[in-house]
Amino acid sequence: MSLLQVAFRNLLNRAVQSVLTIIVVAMAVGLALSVVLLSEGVQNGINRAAEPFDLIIGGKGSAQQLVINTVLLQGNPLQNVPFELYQKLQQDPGLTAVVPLGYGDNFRKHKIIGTKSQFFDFRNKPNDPAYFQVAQGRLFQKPFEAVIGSEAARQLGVQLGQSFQAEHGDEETLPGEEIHDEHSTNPYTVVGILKPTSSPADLGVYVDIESFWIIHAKVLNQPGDPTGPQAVTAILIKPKSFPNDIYRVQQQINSGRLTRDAQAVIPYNELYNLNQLVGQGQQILSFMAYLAIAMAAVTIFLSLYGAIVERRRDLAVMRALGAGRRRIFVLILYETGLVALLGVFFGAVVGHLSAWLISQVIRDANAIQVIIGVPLEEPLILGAVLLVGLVAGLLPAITAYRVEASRYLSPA
Amino acid sequence: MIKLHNIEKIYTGPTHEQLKVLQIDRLDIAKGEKVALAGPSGSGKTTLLNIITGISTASQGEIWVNDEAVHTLDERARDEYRARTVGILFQTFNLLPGFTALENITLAMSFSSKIPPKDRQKRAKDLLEQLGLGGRLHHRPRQLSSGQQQRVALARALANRPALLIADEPTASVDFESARVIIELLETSSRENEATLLVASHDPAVLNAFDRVIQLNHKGQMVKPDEAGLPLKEAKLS
Repeated sequence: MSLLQVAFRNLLNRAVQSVLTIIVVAMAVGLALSVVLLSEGVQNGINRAAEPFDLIIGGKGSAQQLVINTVLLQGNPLQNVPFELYQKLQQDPGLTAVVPLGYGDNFRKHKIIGTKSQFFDFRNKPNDPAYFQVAQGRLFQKPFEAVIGSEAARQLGVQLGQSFQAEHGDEETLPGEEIHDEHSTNPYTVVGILKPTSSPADLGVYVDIESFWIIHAKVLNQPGDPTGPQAVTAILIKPKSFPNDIYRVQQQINSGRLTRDAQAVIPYNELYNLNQLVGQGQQILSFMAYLAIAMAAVTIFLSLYGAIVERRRDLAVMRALGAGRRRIFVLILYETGLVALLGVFFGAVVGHLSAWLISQVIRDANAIQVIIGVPLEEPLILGAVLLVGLVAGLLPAITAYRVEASRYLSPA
Repeated sequence: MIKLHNIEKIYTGPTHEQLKVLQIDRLDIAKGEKVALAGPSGSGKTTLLNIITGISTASQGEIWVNDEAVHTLDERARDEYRARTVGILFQTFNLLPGFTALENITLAMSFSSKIPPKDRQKRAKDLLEQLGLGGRLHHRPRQLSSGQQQRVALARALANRPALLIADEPTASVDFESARVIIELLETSSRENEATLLVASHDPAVLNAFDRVIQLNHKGQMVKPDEAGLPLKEAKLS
């Protein structure tokens, strides 16, 4: 029998103890790994969501709220930007496209985004294909035609040609509640379904912003209501020269030269700040994960140390049969290594599986595609746990090394 | 085969007092000889066996086994010497409980390079079959009777074809008939394997079966059997 076989057999002989230790190690590794995978995946997913948009112009207020609302389709929109600003930007020769965005209505809790067809022409880099691509049907060509994001279409079970009625605000109409306003008399028709972009944009319902303006032309809006005649909640721009025109327009708006009632933000920067915030939470979770790894190491130590104390007589027999101290030491390290290795293996499986499951929940809720890869930290975490496991086994191995055959061979 | 010269074993007590537990001026055992080591409890039988096997060291003196100066070996070399030269049968068998009969034997072989790895499984099987345990190869010790465990332990002791077979109180925990069977097995096995047999026992019935009896007194010194007060003659008649 090889020493490795002996070590494996020793683990099998105390199966309950071994399995419990492996589970504790696996849970600790799984926790640490899923924190890393998810935080990096969410950050990548959030960054990816903002990739095609270089600059967002919106009402005064929190820059982060503007980006979260416009890019991640979460939370409430800020106040509208002055329509005159939209018109002024359209005259800017440094911009190839000025795309309005209107928010304020929903279709069964999915935000309806009023925009123009140029919206679908944004791309990550000039030579990349368009970020938004039609999977079925076509883009809208006139008011009250709607194009649905892939995830929204899946969740709503929408088919091409289907009609739906928008609801004002962010909440859907309650069962039995009837709407008797312009929303109910102007239903939308689904003319297209987009391909997935793996971003929150997949949760949106896209319509011609003219539809918004028609519906809300007669609606008396409360102050701050983003809807209303010629209301524009945000504006996206496409520069002729990148990044010069981006910085120029941002400076013009933020310095108040074009208007005093708007702000221009670079979404990447705001999302970077957001990721920094998420990173702080991640640090706390990481700390807890490392604590769990430390506890797993203690568990390995206790389990193995207890086993060594119980098995001193067996070790003494092996010594009497000619097994050297070094062989006994290595045997115990093999046992620790096997526990740590199996714990790390199952931990990696648990980590990836739980990260994937949580990413599905995040995707369903926010359409943020959590991109789970193999981060640089992963081999480091797995290697570190193996090392910690081996270190935890050192003392039991030394204890085993020091077992004196003559002392433990006599009958009890 | 075995030569001991001026062997002493001294323990230091808790209050630093020196306690001499073994003192053997000279002892020679020839190759293939079957020798019993007798004496009351605490007479140093196990200590002497441990010194001969290299499990522990003498405080002074020389031990030669098969022309190998055991007293000059460091611990690692003594481990190798033990695995290569000595087969040990313990009083309580000391089989490893988590391993099958076959594994207990192959494990012992793995501590020495004497039997090539490819031959170990076959040799272990052969030994167990010779000892009537062909149908118990994959049984664990707790699934075997006391006598069967004893035979597995004997097979393990013989696994590395030892030049010296040592048994420490092999009949202490068995009845008279089982003791007789064990002694027969030891004698037969040592003869077939051309091994020198050294058995420690304080059982007069066991001593009767040996070529020579080495008697230790309570001071760990070799004495003539009649000086130790053991009814050796009567024992031989039984």
